[in-house]
Amino acid sequence: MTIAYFPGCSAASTGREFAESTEALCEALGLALVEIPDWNCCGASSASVLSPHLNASLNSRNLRQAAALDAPILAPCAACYNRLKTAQLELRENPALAAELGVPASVLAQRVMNLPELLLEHPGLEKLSEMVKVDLSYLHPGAYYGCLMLRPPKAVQFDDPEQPTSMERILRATGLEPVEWYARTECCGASLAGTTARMVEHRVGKIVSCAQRCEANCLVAACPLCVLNLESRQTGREPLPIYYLSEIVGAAIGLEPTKLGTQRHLLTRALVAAKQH
Amino acid sequence: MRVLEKDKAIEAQPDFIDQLCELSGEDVRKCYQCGKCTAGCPVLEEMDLTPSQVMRAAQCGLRDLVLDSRTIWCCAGCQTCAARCPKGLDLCHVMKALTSLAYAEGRTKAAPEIAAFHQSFMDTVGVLGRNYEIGMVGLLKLRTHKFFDDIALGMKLFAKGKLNLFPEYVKGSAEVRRLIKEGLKVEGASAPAPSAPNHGGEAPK
Repeated sequence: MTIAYFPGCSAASTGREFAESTEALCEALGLALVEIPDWNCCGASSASVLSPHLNASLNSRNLRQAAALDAPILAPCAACYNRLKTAQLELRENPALAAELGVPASVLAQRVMNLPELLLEHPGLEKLSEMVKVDLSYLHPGAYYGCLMLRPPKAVQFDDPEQPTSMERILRATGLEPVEWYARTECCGASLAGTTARMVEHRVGKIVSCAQRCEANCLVAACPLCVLNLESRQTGREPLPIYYLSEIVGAAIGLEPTKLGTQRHLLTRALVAAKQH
Repeated sequence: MRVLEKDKAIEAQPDFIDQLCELSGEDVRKCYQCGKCTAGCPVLEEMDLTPSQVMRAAQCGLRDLVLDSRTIWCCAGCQTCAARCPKGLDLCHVMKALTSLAYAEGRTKAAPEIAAFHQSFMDTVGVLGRNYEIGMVGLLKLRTHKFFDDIALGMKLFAKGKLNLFPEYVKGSAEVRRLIKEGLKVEGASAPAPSAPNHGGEAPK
């Protein structure tokens, strides 16, 4: 199956291991990722703060570039995913603007997926559990969703915005027992880390201590900015390791941790002590 | 939190609410002050007005009060309020419409560092078509003069191969630049004061 791939700017920098593990995992799952030609930045947090029109105009080019591939779009970064879906909604609601920006209707109806959404369908939970080769059951992760994969529900229409289950279902199929905890959809402070670090430290502290109280021994996330903030703004004595969902699933189906980029984490070197079946 | 002084008259602009509804795409008049947005806001402690106070002030036409508030810049865009509003309002749309007006009018003194961050980010994307951390952070530091913040983090990221020395750029960057330039036009903003890019000044007439 061919997937139009939108890596996002962080794939080449702060979220490098997310891109590496996502690409390795998709290859192992038989999914052909075709990078959207000459894609540009989605605008992340900044575009829409400076102008309500900027999100649709920046992403109109991305959608146009994707139209030729005529395939479902994978945007692993939660911000890219959110901005592309929001732009699709804005342009569907304003056909005159879509025409002005030259965005064809076909790509406005095209599926844009995040990583959990993709894994739930390809390979699906049943097949995924059959593929597991490595026992990671010593990890008791807290699944951390953050904001942009779930909200606003009107634009993203993925899972339940308050009580999501998709990542827990995937982790269970992968042989892990995720813990029940309560800061799964709390905001990490996002781009304010660049300017108001104390606030992000406060947010991250709340999220991490909640996970630790609920006996999680790591967090699993699917957003490069969440992972950067959670790793770099922890101030507690016992740091909690943070992994990407793609690393955990990739490691469980037997991919080499170095191929998954796990050595790039700021807090942990690698998935420790993985036992072969 | 800012307390409204009783003896200080704040001039209301009754047509502001129409302008805000138009720009944000949200019917701000519908807000009935239940306070759910404020109760769930993760960045409340950084704000001077609560999100529900911003909504009420906007309904009352207190344009200067909301445009000069720190709250609108502190919004992290997490959309928690948008998911919970019983009237179906997306407050993030409202906050962003307000920041865009404030930015276009050069009124960023309540949170100059946050405005500088977003400006530096978009400047970088305007040149390259993509974000480039070293360039973006460099611009931000020039604007905020906080040269030594997060240097250790930058070194760690670099050591892990997570900061590119050289940027990636988009072949169609000229088109991206044009899209940004056109997208930045905000209706209903007054011209900024030419002398002070960061003024937080008087009510625009």
